[in-house]
Amino acid sequence: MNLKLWYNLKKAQKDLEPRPGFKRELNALLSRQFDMVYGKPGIWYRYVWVKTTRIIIASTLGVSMVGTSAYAYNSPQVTEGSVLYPIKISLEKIEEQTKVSPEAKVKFLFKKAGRREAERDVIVDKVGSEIKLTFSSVEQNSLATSTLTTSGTVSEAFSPTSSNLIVITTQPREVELIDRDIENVDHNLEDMEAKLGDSEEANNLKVKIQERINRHKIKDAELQEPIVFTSSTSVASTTLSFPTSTLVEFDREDRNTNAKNSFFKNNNILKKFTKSKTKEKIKIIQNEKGEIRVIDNENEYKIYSSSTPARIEQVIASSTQIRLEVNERDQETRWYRSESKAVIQERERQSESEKKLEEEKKHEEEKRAELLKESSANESDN
Amino acid sequence: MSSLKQEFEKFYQTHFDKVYRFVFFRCHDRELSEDLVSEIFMKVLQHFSDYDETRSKTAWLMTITKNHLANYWRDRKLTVPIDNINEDDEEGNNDSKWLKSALKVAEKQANKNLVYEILAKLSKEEAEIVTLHYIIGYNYAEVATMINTTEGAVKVASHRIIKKMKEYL
Repeated sequence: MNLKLWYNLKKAQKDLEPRPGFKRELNALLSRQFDMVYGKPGIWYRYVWVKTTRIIIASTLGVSMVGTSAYAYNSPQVTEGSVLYPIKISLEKIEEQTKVSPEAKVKFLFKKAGRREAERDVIVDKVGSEIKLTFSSVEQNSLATSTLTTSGTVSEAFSPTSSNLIVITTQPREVELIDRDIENVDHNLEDMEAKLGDSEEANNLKVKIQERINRHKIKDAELQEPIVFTSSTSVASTTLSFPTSTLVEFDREDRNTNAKNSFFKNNNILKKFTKSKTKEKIKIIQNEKGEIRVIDNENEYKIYSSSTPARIEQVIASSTQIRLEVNERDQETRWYRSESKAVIQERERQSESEKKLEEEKKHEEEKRAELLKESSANESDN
Repeated sequence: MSSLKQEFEKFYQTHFDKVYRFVFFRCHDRELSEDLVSEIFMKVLQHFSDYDETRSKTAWLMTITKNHLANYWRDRKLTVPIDNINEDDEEGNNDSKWLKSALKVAEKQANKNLVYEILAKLSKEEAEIVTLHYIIGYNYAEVATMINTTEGAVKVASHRIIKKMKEYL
């Protein structure tokens, strides 16, 4: 279209535009008129249609809140540290308030303990995948370990060697918090046991409570028992890193010393580990089931080792606890050996039996000597 | 009931500008146009619930508008006598009366637009198509409904008319 023609047509159109405001005024007038002609909308309309948007928004929010709460309450994936965890705990508290009879409360506590344990497994699984521990010089060191007696310098016991220890850990303290929760639940169960009646159901619950408490006692004993090797960071930096084996305890108080930095400088993964400020100490343990775990002041982790289970068993069989320390005066590194209770008891038993044997032997010799004396006296009399 | 009100509001928002332009194009008096447009929409409102769904709403509204304008002029004895400008249309066809009346009024505008001069040179049908489509703002389909023809025919005609208008420039 010709520009001039287009311009003139547009101008003609613009000249016909209504006065500003007229359209709105007429609309308002028509709206009032419409209500007069057709009547105002009823209450049902105002609630059902006019406020539909509000109702939809409110119900959507409500449904999503209920859904979120239900998910938080039921899923073991919602663990300590999760945003939804407080909701879960709050709902549990509410549920707990609804339980009146001791039996109902005990049942609830079992359920609660089950939930915490499931959460714990989730966290441990998550963390376990991030922790690895490997040693390449296990055999050599386990041989050295078997020759140890009581104490001495490190160089006497070990030939310098570099152990390949890799520990990756990133996990915070959720597990310990959950463990505390479980412990509290167990205490509550113990308290509730006294309040239970004599009915069949109550008796069954009492048995269950006892089973649970005993199981935990055994578990605690397992965890406390078998720490095997210890090393201070100074030792690690000066001589042979760690003396041996898959089971190690770090003491990381000197975390910023040059010596320690020099030890860790070639191992990025360890560097990462040592940067973690919350962990001052870790223990690596193995229980009777062969599960290896890392425990620091706050957390417990599962461990995956490159050694085969048979090799680990062999190493543990030949090991007891060894602690390495640096003497502050002469900077001499010394080792101390301590043994598991079972080994000590066995040795004590052996030494006692040896003592007895010696005493018996001595006693017999004394008797024999007396007899000899008596016989020689008789002969002289004759 | 209230869905009807919403429907009416939508209808009003869609057609208000076109109806206003149509009326104002015809009378070139802003106050009068506002009165007439208000009355037209009042009529529409009165009969909105009786509206025949099978018919085009645009055509329905246009019929109401044209009839209302015709009634207005009949009752008020227009300043521009329709009979004088519509000598060859003795049957009183409103469809042509409104246009000729508008052109006559437009001629009297002191500061008239060039377009009106050109429209005066076009035939009645041609001027109607150009006015409805390019000035008032109806689309081809709506124009076709109003003048009882096909959309394609309107398109072809409008292009041809524009070409013709260029020559008059």
